[in-house]
Amino acid sequence: MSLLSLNNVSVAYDKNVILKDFNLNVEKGELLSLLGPSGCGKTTTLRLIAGFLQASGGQFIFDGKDYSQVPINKRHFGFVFQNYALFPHLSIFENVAFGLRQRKVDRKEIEKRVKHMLEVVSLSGFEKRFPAELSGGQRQRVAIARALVIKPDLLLFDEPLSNLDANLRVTMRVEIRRIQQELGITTVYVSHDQEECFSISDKVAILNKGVIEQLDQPKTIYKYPKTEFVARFIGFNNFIQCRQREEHETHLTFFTEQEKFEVQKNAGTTSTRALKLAIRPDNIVIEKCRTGSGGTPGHRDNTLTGQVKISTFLGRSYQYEVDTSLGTFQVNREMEMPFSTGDRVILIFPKEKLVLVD
Amino acid sequence: MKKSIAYLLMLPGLLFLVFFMVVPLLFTVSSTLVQQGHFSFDGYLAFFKDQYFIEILFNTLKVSLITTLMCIFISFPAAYYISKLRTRKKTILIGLAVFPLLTSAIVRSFSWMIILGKKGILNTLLLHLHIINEPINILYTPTAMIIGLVHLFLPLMIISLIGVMENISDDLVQAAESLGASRFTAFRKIVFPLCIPGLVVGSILVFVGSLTAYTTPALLGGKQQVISVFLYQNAMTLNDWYAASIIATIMIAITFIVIGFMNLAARKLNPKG
Amino acid sequence: MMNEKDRGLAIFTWLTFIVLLGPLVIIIITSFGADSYLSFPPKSLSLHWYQNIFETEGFISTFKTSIFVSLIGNLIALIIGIPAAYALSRYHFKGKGVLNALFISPLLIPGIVLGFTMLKYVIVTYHMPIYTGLLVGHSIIMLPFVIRVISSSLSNFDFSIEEAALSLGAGKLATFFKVVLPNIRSGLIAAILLAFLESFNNVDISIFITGPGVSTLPIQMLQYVENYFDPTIAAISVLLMILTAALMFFIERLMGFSYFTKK
Ligand SMILES: Nc1ncnc2c1ncn2[C@@H]1O[C@H](COP(=O)(O)OP(=O)(O)OP(=O)(O)O)[C@@H](O)[C@H]1O
Ligand SMILES: [Mg+2]
Repeated sequence: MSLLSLNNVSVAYDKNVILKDFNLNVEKGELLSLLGPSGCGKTTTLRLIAGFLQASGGQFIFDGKDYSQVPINKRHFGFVFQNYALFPHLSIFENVAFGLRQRKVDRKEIEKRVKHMLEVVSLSGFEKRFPAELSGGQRQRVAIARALVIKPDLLLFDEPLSNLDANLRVTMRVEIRRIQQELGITTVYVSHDQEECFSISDKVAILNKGVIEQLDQPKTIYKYPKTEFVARFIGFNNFIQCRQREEHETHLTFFTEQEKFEVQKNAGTTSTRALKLAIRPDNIVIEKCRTGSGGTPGHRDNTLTGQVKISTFLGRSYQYEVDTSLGTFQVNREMEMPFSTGDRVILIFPKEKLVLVD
Repeated sequence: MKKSIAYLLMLPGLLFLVFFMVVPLLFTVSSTLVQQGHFSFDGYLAFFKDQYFIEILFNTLKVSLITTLMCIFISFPAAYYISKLRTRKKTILIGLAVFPLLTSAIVRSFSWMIILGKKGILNTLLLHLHIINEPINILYTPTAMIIGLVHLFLPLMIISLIGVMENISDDLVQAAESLGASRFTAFRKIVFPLCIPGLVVGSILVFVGSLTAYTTPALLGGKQQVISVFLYQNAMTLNDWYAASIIATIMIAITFIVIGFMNLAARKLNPKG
Repeated sequence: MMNEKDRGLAIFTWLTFIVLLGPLVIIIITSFGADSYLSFPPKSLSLHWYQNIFETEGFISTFKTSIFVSLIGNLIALIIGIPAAYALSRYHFKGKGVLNALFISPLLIPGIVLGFTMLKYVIVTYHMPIYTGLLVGHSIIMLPFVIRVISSSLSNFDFSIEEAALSLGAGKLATFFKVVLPNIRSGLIAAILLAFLESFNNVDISIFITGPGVSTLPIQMLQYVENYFDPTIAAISVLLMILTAALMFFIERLMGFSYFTKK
């Protein structure tokens, strides 16, 4: 059984419904990320779990108990805020000790645990400073220490790294993952940075307008997005809508009006009746069209002929937008001899690179 | 060159204030220290030996202290509530607090004369409800004065507190709660300490304001004297300008002592404000 | 998220506001009473007391004095206050803290003390006429308002815009009038309105500086209250409240009420 289950919960601000019949399960010890565009309800979900918000319906089960009526201060969850929310009038030591003092832990023990936790986040010696006297990264680590020192049953992060510069972000996310694994704390992590989520999570949930579109291991999502939204979100910018499909032993065949595409069977194709294909711009092969007259259209399977509409230099590669009978496709290609606008080209869609989305 | 322009720009204001305010104040103070051409502290000694004056001074301080405390207690919940609002309601409530602030003290004290008088609304009401049999005397008592002063200064305290409370993010309270603090503890340990700067500013304004208020005590206080009314009477009714000057000097001294003391207290209470 | 405790807070807040504003509402109601003594609720209604204001010479003349003193005093405060505010917010110089404190000090020194010393020295020693004395006194108490509001507007106004104007060939004065002033206009008007109300309602200074035939409206009202107990004062109060509300409306438009909480 999952450690945390949200079953059919709904949340609304006034009349504005943000989450409707929302479901989420988090297993003990795992780090689960909520990833999605701005405003999709990530923070709302996290605040709901923390108890800052009340669901208007559904079930909130934690560790086998109904938690929907448990007040915030009895939940024993650690929350790391996007802006850290350090208490400006308390020293670093007192900030970290705050939760322990609420639990009437005795003085010696507090001293010991705070000291140890500050060591864990590499902030020994900063006890007497105040939040205003720390850098962004240091504040962030205090916020983590403050949430961890109470040995929470669940750790919640709301975009903890979004205020940091790029280098620090990478260092800190490795740090967060290390601490989380060391202590084995079940964690829900919110971010809208894909790389960050994929690099530290056991599982990623992709959220769209208050609905989880896909919840899987990072690798699975990256390779086999299940829906068009997820595919787009992680960079599958090309879609082909088909009308019909046939199933074969090792592959599936899809038909549009005039074209035919073969797709190799894989983990992402087993359980869906979808008719839409998706492919990343990097995975389309682009070649010069050899026919001068443009007479016979390319009739090999998994190919389309087209004309380069826009060619953009991206540094390492070129990006082309190619007009075809099935619409415009985006193609990235590293090459020395680029195509120019107006060139006629053939696009090849390797069957092992095509994925199926709803 | 640049700096001389700055001084030049300030010169008219400076001369104006020095000539019409600073010099008169200095003369007033120095006149109290000279008797028959000699430096003397006798005037003050006589004052502080005078039982009547001591009583007035003590009363004034007591009234101001009670007024300040009442303002704090009433303002805290109201300001906290208003500061948490996010809608038009907030603008309206702040506007409704500012309105009395900008309304004449005479008007506001007068309203309490209507309410608290012998035939006033309060007595009429209480008689009607048979809570009392005889009209009670509230007007022209220290109680009336305190009611009037609280009414006068409440908006000032509310607004000072909203100013600091607005800057306390909800996240801090929620962080405290998620760490196990009850709502009350979160308020006591997080919100309250962060309010201290506003509380000090508000308290200085209210305390010094009550200490030196003239209109409200004059209208509502009756025979109960406070120091500003006493100054006025010495100057205008008794024509004793020497006494009035001494009272003026004492009032200035008290004002600055109070401000200094509260600032000191603020620094003690909140080292990292 | 509203819960029980928040509802308690809300009720407390509304009660506070009832106590704060109720007395003012009572004044409005009593001002329409027909009886010649203050009664609540009035047994019959009349506009008699409003008429009485305009038939009482004392109110009309002191109202004119008050308006004159507040307006001209305001002008004086602006003329000497704007350059000072500009200097205080744009230049760094020795003694800035002390000078700043000096310009704000009329707010801190007890009004009654200021009034008394003005009487003692400005009127009696300097032999200034009562009318001029009133103007001087009121200018002094308006000065801190002008300086505070304008300084804060100026510090919100980017200095580099001024430098841009200078670099485009505008002189210092032209820059001030054509670039700075239009940009701090709303702060300036708010300062004028706030200072006006402060002066118009002033008792502490005006009460010392009165003479034969010269007095301000608040002082006249005080004297009236000491002698009569009829609704005339309630009627004047209503008119004053209307004036206050109108000026507040403009202040809100110009700066928003948040100006009051952000100092
Ligand atoms: N206090 C509130 N009152 C009303 N609506 C709100 C409130 N907080 C959030 N919303 C709305 O709820 C929706 C979801 O907000 P939420 O904060 O959960 O988004 P998010 O996924 O965390 O986005 P971001 O990545 O920008 O932080 C948004 O459309 C937002 O406008
Ligand atoms: Mg968010």
